Amino acid sequence: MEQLVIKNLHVSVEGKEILKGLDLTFNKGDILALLGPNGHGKSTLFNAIMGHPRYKITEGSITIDGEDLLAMSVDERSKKGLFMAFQNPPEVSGVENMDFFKQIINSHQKENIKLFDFYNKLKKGYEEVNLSEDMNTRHLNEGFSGGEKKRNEILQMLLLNPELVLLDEIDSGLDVDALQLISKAINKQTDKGSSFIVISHYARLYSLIKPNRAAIMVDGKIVVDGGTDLIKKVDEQGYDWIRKELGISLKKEEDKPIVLESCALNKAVK
Amino acid sequence: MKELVVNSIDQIRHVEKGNETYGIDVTCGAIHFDITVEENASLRLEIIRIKNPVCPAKLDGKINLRRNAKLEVVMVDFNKEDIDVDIHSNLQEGAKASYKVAATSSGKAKKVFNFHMFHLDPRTTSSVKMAGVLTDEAELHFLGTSDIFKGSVKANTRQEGKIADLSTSGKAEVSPILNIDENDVVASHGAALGKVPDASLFYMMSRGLTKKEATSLLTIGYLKPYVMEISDSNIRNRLLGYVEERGFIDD
Repeated sequence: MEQLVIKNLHVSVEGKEILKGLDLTFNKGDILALLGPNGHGKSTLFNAIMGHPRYKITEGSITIDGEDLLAMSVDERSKKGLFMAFQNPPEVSGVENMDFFKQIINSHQKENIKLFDFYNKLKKGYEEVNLSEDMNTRHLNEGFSGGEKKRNEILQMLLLNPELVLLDEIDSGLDVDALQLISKAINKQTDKGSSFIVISHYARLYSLIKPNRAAIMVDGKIVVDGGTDLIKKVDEQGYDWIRKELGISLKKEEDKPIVLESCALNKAVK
Repeated sequence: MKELVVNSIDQIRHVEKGNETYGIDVTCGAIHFDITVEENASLRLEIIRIKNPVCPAKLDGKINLRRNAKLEVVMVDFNKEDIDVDIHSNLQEGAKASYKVAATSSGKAKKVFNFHMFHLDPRTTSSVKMAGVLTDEAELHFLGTSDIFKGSVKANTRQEGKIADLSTSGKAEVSPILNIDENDVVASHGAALGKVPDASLFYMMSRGLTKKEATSLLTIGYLKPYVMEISDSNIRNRLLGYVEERGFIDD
């Protein structure tokens, strides 16, 4: 992937518009810190990029090296080199971790991986995220602790070696040691040439993985796109300065007070 | 332990003593059987129905378990045609019966599995576990009934079934029934029916699996534990091949 371009993206979930005309150009090698208050559409953006069927694109485009990403199925996007580490990975009962890992690796290459290579790769992966190989026979994410789930996500990133990684609050629920470990794995992946978009509410993760740019999302749009000094500013001051300095309201449109007439009208209709 | 392969289950009549294991390939037509397992003896039946020949089958019969007799039945059915199974188990004092069933139902097949456990005496134990995958316009019915008669103290029964419904317009039914006429017993049932959850599917596809591959992997997870129960490794591998060739779901 050389470039991902998002233009005027509008996304609705169950009829409610979350993204309201988002523009973003992302280049190979970028590590973007994606900031913004809770509930303003950051995870929605990730799900839209990855192709979650619940997230309906009503307007706009996403292209990857000029190709229409939105026309691709979810698995095709993965094969294009996209990877999303889920904020809440689902528990998939009945599917053993190891069977799943083998199959996702095979789905990314022409010939099936040799068993010997697979075991070696897997062993190394487990070591890097400090998970026990006992996980192999456990069902995918089933009964995993919060931290184990996050490590399992990073393990899959290592196995698939994706070009663009979307990290959705990978640091939530991790203790300090685990955070160090995960950051190390991310940095190693960066060295391999992968690009990252990273959602986190904490400056600590960003200080460990060193983004080169930062953007702030408010009410379904990117309102500030700039340097990494934004991270420090948000960490120290929160988001209120956006309203003061840039005159942008932090309220979502639907949160704005309802005018009396419409309230009265609703009542009358009932 | 005696291990035998018989063409048809109706060739088995009597288990006098010790342990007997039979591998049975159910092919076509109606089969009726009546088996008695004597005191302290045990019987294991591994009943399979592979893909070929494609033809309907009907299996009904009765298994009488004398005092402290033990019965284990494993049944795996991947045939594309109808099957109608109706087996009654009569448990005398201290007898134990376990049924484990895995089935796929595809095309326009109608498959009915009905296991009726009669707890006639104290300290009788029964367990019925069924797992299935439904596709196309097929039907799959998991029916199980446990009757615990008065005086059968310390009886223990479990009836459970789950079906992964991947069908377009199929019919899935899991209906465990417990009829209990004694207070001092342990009885439970469980039923699960469902489409593959969208969240699991999206997750697996986001890692590069096609919808077909993801669904297949999920259904393998459903059926594999039952197939692993088959003791003959050749047959087991052949059945695993069916499960893993992902022949159940079309894109």
